[in-house]
Amino acid sequence: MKGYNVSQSNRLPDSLIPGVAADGIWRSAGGIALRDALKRGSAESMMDVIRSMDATGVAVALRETGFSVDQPTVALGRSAVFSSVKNNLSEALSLGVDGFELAKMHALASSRTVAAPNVVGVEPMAHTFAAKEVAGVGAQDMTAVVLEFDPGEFVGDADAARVIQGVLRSESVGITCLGDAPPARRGALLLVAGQGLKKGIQGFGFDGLPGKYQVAFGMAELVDLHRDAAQAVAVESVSASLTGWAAGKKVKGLDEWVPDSVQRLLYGSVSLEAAQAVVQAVETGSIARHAGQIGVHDFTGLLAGQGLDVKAKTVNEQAREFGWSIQEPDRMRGQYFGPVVAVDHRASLVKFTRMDVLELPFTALASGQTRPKMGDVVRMDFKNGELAVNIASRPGREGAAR
Amino acid sequence: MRKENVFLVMGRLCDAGGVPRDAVQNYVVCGATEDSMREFVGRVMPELLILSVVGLIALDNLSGKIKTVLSGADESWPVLVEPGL
Repeated sequence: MKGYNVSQSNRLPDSLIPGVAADGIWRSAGGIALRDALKRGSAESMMDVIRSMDATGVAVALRETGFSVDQPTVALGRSAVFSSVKNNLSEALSLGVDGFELAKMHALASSRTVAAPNVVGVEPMAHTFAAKEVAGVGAQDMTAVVLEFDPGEFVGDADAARVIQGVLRSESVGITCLGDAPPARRGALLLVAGQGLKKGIQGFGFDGLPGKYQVAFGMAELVDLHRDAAQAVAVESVSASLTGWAAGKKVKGLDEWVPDSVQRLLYGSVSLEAAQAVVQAVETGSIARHAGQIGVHDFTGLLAGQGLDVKAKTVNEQAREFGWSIQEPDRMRGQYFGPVVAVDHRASLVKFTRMDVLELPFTALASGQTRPKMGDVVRMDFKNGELAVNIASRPGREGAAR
Repeated sequence: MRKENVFLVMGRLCDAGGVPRDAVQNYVVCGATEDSMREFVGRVMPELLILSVVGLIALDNLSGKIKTVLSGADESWPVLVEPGL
């Protein structure tokens, strides 16, 4: 039976030594302390426990208190483990419950269906996310997040400061990229992405989905952007600390995305070996890679919170798989009719002959129209460039022949 | 000191507001009984929140049981041994 070695040595770290609390249940020391802190609703008490343990200890304590953590995340380090449960953990903390009780409360809440925010083509979601505010949709969150810059302290260009404040305060910001550089190489976007990751907010609107910063590029480029943002933050943090460290000053405030091994070196005293190790870590790109992995992992989690799956096949990929040909419709007078045979987060494919499909982006739907599902029969009427979509739901046609 | 008087106590020190802070700390505490031991700790370390108490005797008995099962004298748990040992 495949398992995982929680402890490789014969001596358990203190946080993993078993104990029994007043409720009579045996848990690890860390698990007992974490549950106690959650029940008290004390954030400082909880964070002290988490900071006192390594990634494995934190994962064990979280699992014992009802929060799930997968093994690959543990390998990314303590901050990745913490980010992966941050939202549920803080909700449990505010309610004074552990993860098991929180899950029960979510299950009860989801049995009352709540309509998703008023956006074209979004239908009420049936799973537990429906009961909570979806991260990234609230423009207020993103505004409050980025407003950390105090204009009173700014000594540069006052006009630029005003423009920046305008952007920060707006509910919706449309972004146009000039030139060919990919989004992941644009400083302003990296800044916004990095801030969003730190605060656990997905602030970008793409593929017709809502979000404060509306962009024309897609999910794959956004993942790259967030990966590179985390990389930039970690590498900058190390670079900024190097001069002081070399001069014998105490290093403080290294970013959490810097790998634990490098943090340990920089928080310790400078020596030739330590300096060589740090420089090697920077030059081989291992700091960047580690931080980038955390960035991708955390961003994937934020998208999952919106009901988006980065691994789901796009309609183009599905079309290739089935050998369908995506056609360009006659936008002046074309009339097309057929079942929906593929769906992704952005569009569906409507099959109007044996091997031909048309792409129907959800942005083309009328306000109030729900997104067509697999098997629904769709009628698309083009007239002088305008498109009218008619959807007939076919209950019981789940798994109809493609 | 006898086994039944020795306890592994896990606790956290509380701040002025009564909120437990810092890491969990293990203490080896000796007392006549678990109850008297708890009272004693409450007197000498009132700021300590006791999270867990495990008697050495329980841990020792567990260790003893494993060895007895291995020897064959206790058949309540199955024993499997990798060939070659």
